[in-house]
Amino acid sequence: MSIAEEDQILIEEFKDGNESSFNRLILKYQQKIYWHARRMTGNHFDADEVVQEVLMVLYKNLKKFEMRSSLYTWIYKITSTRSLNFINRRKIKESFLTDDDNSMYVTNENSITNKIEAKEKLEKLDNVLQQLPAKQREIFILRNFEEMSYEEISEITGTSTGGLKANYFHAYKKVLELMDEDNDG
Amino acid sequence: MDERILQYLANELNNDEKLKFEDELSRSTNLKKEFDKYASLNSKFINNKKIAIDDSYFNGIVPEFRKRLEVKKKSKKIFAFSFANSLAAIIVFYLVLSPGNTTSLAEAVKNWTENDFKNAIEYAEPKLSVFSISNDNDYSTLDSLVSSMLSDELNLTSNIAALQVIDNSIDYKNLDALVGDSEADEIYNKILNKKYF
Repeated sequence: MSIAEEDQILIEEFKDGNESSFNRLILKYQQKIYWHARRMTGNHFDADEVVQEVLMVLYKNLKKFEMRSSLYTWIYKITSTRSLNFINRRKIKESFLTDDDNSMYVTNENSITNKIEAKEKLEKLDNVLQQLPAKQREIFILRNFEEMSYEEISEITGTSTGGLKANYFHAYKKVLELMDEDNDG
Repeated sequence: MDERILQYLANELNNDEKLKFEDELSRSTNLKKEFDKYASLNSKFINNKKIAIDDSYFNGIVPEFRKRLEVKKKSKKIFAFSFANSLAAIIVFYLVLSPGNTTSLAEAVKNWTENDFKNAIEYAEPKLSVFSISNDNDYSTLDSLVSSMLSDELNLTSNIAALQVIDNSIDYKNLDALVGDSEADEIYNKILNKKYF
């Protein structure tokens, strides 16, 4: 059975009132949702908030989902939109914070790993990605981390495939150069 | 920087382009130097992407979601129910009080005190079982009900508008027929002792 067929069955079961089918869908996609949100927002707490928002949106709208696009693409679309909204809200919130509040906000950073090496890698990656403009970051993550085709990314972001390629390679170059700067520092 | 370096590293060159690039790479020291630099950074980046994670966080996502969903459902129910109560109480009072009244509902209740509304709600509450949602999952119905009530409530300028707010299936025009004589007397007695308008 293909992934799409499996998803369709779970969606139909959920539409018929089977709540555990929704739980199964969450278990299936939660890591993808988390990592996309994490890379977009740059920290665990914000990503966790986005994950819960996305699940709430899915729960509310899944009954109306008609399988015209794949569930996988639809979930990424919701996660991307929610992450971008969250980043905008955060910018507004941060503009009202004092320096002390800001430092507290950063030092409260948590992680999903206890291993020092993994924590360092994660932090480095978060920092590098956060230096890309949000829309460019979205394209880079979908292409580089999620290995999506330009057509799929175009469906999610609403950008033409030509524009996507240019944006992706611009972001790619910047990321590698930031890795270099990090090495020098 | 030669754009093909990143395209090569990202495996986005076709076979011909790939062969041509590799050929140039073997003949150009500068291109090779630049390529090596980005290839090394790319390896470092790929290495950074491989992170060993602790799964315990993921085990908690579903329970946390269910917890939040429950809270949301409860608060939505309370809001919808109390809003429906308030609105229905106003309508019931208006219709019972003055079935032939030409005064608009908004006009009728504009001088009500908080206590007057409270009394109206206390009266109407037992009669509002029609607003309870039988199916816990039927939140789309609840959503549209609350939305239409919220938007319409702001413009309750006539008896008809008031009736359209909640549900056309409920015959509010004949609601007085549903209230027994003793109940009606009790309401009238209560009302006569209060200055509502």
